[in-house]
Amino acid sequence: MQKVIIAWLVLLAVSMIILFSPEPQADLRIGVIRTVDAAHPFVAQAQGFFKDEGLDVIVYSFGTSPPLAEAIASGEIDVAYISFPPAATWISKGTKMKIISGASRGGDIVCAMEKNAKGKIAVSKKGTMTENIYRGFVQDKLQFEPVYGIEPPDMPTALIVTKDVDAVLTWEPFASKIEDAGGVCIFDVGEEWEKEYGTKYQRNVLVATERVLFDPVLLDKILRVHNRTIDFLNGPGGDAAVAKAMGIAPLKKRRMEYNASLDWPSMVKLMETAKAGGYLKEVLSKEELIYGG
Amino acid sequence: MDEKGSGRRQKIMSIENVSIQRAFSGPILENISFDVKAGEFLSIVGASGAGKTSLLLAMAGLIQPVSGKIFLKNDEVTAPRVAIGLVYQSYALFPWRTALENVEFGLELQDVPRIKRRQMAIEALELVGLSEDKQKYPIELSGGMQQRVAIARELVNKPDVLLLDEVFSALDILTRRQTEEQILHIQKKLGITIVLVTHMVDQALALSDRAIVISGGAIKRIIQLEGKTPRSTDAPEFRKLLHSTEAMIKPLSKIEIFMKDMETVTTGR
Amino acid sequence: MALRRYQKILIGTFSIVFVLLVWQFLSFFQLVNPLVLPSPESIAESFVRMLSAGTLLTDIGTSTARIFIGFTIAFLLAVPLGLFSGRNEVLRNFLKPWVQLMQPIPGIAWVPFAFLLFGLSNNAAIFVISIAAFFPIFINVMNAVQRFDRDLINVARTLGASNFQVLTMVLLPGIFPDIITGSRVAVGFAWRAVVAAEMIGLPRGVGALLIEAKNTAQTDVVIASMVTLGVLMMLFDRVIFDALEKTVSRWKGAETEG
Repeated sequence: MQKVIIAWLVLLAVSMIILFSPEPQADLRIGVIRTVDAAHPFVAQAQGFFKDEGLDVIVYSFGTSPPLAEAIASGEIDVAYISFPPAATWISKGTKMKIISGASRGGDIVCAMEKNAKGKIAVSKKGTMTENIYRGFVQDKLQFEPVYGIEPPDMPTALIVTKDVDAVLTWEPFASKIEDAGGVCIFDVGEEWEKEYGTKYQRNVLVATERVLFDPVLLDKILRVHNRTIDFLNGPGGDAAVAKAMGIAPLKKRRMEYNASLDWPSMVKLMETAKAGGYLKEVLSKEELIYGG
Repeated sequence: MDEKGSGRRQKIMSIENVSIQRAFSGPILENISFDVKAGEFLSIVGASGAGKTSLLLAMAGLIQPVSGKIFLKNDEVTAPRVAIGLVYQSYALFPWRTALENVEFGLELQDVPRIKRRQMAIEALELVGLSEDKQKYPIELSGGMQQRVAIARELVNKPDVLLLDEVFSALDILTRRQTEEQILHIQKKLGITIVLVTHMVDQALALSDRAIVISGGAIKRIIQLEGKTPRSTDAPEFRKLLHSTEAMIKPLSKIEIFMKDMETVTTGR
Repeated sequence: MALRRYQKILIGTFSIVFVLLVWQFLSFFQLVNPLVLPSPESIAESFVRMLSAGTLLTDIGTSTARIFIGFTIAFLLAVPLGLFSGRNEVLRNFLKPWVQLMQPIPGIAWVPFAFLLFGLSNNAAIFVISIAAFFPIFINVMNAVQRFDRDLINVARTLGASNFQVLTMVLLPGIFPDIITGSRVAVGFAWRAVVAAEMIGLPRGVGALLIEAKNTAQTDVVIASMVTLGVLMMLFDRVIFDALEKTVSRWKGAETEG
């Protein structure tokens, strides 16, 4: 019995250490929702770009936006890769952060089991990027009846297995999964937008909190790593690196763009759509959104 | 065979004007008084439900009489103590302890050092003839063996008095005879005082020095017995005494027990 | 005909190998949708990948640590409370309506409340685990004490035991099998609760691994994580509790459950 109690206490101590040891002090804490179009921090870490700048970095992956928003608001995170509409919403609600760079463009794709699919389309819930792009752009171009609330990870199943919908508005890697299972991509939103407006629409941005904004040396380093990463991603080893970092098979076709510059016209349009949907009170100005105006 | 106490032996326990009540029913024994003599084998005999077990529990200090007092060597008994050993009808062995560990229990409570404790326990088990089975758990022992362990568990603490509650009732006749002889043997060897509660009148008369007959909530008779024990149950004198004693103990039928309870409820006595 | 021990093991192993082969065959010839059911090969690959990346061990460690602490808290509360309630009728009836109300609530239902109280922290996980684990232990202990053979206690008293000694030398050893049973159920509930909390948003742990894999459409990782979870739960149950029950079965005899 004595031995059991001692063993128990040891295991208890170990558990406490595992759970409650203080967070390792890092120079930079990055928040990201783990998707292909926000692969930047994972790839940068794997390639050692942060180390080259002498930065000790921790990347926190989130599954959904609300916990990420909370972490930013409570100062647990210094920079984050997020899609633009939520970024605009949070800034308008008073979260102390600013956009410091673009991260990706395009990337939303409509997939179906056949080219002439008709009927219902799955769109993720109101307030998200894809819902915004659907309402503001896709809806007029394709004749579908939207079904809201299915998240992109669940879309392949809804399309292929349960056949609840006839098409889905999703992003990589789910689009490739659907193609692998015999489906087709019938509408590349980024490409169509480019046809109409000349560039792909702004999707993900890099935001930074006050701690970074008031530290010009740190800010510089971050932007250097970010730009270097984007160059790398657009280079020959990019796809393979993304696949490795995300733990998926390399994408056959890259349907989005890693791009550091911000496409203001599309940002305005996205904000207008958000305002029409009731999530954004006013279209924000460059000064309000972007660091350096 | 005389009826009253012989006075040769010293008094070791005295039960004075004791009345015992069972929960939710009326008094089961009223104003009982008797002595227990040192070194004697005393039986308390009566029908099932007559209150013998309750009396024994009171003597052990586990229940309190509603009136009267119980003394062990002039010290009032109000709580259980090691000097008064008790063996339950169910034997109440600790199932998670081996026979040996069961016997050691009381010694552990007294902080007897381990080696000495073990030795004393082994000796006690030898005394009851169970040294072969000391590492067995109660579930692995027969009824008769369990009973002997229970007795050894008490004996090892050298109690002044050993109370036995119907300890033979669950045994078959052969095992019963064996254990009865063993107990007599132990008693004579150690000179220990034994009080046995039983409903088997023949057993009481065959084994004891004195038998207290209880019926209707009172002592009907105290029988002083002579001769070497165990007594032969065939002898005509024995049989005569047996019949007359049995006649004193009418077991209460269920109706009679019910009527007695009703009486208590309506008269409050 | 009764099977010998080695025969049972042989049949069991054959069963696993057989199913894996059929599955691999179906995957190879694309007879199953890889989206829904990846091949055993790819699952094994992701397993190795996760192990070597160290993430699998970290997540297992995190979930296990949470369970350990939560279970300890539940145990330290449930056993004394169960002991008192078993002995004291007033306390028992005082607690009864609360127990009857709260006990059927599954651990997962406590998660949102836990998040409100503690945020997405380890404390939330520990809270949920403690509640889920508390009731089986408490109820088992309370019932065991209530139906405990009073004769054993009385005998101990006549042998000179104080109240404390009755507690430590009679009651606790006597109800030990019930403590084990309650704990076993409690650990099962604890696992379900912690995986639920991790899937709903708690960072790290096997549940979080599951959800992240789903969110990136890595079905092979999902299944590898499920297998890991199954193995972990089995280890806890079999290795720890079977061993404990063995120490008890010798004296409890045929009374134990199958």
